[in-house]
Parts: sequence; structure tokens; C-alpha cells
Amino acid sequence: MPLSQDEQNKYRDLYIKTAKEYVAQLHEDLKQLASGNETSDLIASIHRGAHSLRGQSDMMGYTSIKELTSFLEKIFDAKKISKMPFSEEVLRTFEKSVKAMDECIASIETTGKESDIEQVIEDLQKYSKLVDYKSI
Amino acid sequence: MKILLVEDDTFFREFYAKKLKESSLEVETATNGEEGLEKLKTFTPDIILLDIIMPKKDGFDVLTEMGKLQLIQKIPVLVFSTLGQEKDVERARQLGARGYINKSFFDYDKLYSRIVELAKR
Repeated sequence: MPLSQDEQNKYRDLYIKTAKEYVAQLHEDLKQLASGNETSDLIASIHRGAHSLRGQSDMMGYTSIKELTSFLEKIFDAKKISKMPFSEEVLRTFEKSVKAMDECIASIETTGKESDIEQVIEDLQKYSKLVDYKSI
Repeated sequence: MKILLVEDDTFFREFYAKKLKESSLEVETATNGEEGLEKLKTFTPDIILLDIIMPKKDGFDVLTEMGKLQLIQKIPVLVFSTLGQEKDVERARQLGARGYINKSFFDYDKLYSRIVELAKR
């Protein structure tokens, strides 16, 4: 279950600090990916970052970041065994998703609530539906 | 009771270490599997809470290594997972883990009772 409001308030600063670190790493990793430097370590790092941020966002009750990271986690889990390259459009969708996480975290920091990133979630969800998870 | 919490995620590591210490449990932490295995050379916990997806050595590597060292029969391991990791949990069970806790679904009473139950065996 998500944390109580009291516990959320108590652990919000820790969440924001660690979430910012994951998002910064995701930006860096996606930049490497867009530069054509795809390696298994890089894919594992993106998967791990999305997985960790999904877990702690779920616990804190931040559903938008949880949804975005959940799709990224699934896509990059599948990518571990897939040779299918990402198109430029898909790479831009990933980057937009991570920027939306930045926005949400900034909003949590100032207002205590996530910003509205519904469109970005829908865009990423569209791509995630194309990934064949059955092969995982 | 002594706990080894092996978790790379700072948020979960700090959160659960604090909660467990508030219940007067002795808690050692490790930030990845390699560090966890190193700790086991000098620290013998009553139970291990083990994340799966970690850098360097992951949870499966830790369980495999514990099997080789015949520690898996002596120290119960609870997998620290999140929703959607059912296959990971199953693989961990095959490697000797005794069960799992969904770390995103915070239910301290359940976690504490699982720890006590497993440590008694």
C-alpha cells in the first residue's frame, strides 16, 4: 500500500533526492543510446533505473511517474534480448518521458503533487504495446 | 535479531533500515550483491532481505554464491521485490529463497512477522 500522508511527508525529501539521481542517470543513458553507443550494460542501467524509480514512486503514491517508469522498465526488459533498434521517434518519446519525470519531481518539490503528464504517458504506452513481451 | 538488507536503491535501503532499527533489530546494509557477499564473511545475520535487480552482482548471483558456500540452508533469504517480478521471485525460490516481500506495498507488521517466523526455523 502507498505510505500514509504522514509517512509521505516524512520521506518526501529522500524520495526527491533519489528520484533526481535516477532521472539524471536516465538522461545520461538515453543520450548515450541516441549517440549509437548501445551496450548490454547501458540497456541494463536504463532498465534498473526505471525499475527502481517505479518501485519507490509506487510506494510514495506518485502514480504518473510510476506509470511512465513501468512502461520504460517493460520496454528495456524486452530490449535486453531483442535486437530490434529504436527509431529516432521512439528515442524522442523516451527523452520526453524522462523530461516529464523531471517536471513531476519539480512539482512534487514545490506543491507536493505531480504535474499533469497524461499525454506523455499515452505516447509511451502506445509504443510499449508494440513490444513483444511474450518472448521475455 | 540480525538482518542483512541488500538493496541498491537508496530510498528503500534507508527507509527499511530505519523501520527495522526502530523495532530494535540489528541491521547491516549492502548496496549491491558483491558488497552483500563481502559482508557475509564477517557478519552472520539471522535473515537476509535481498533485492534482485542490482548492479555488479544481482540477487540471483548472491543466491547462487550462497548455495556454493552452503549458506543458503543456514540463513533464510526473503526476496525484496516489486509487483511484476513474479518470474524473478520464482527463479529466486529455485535458488533457495524462502519467500518474498513486495517492498513497494508497505506493510510493516507483515514484514516483521515474516522475519520472526523465518528466523525461528
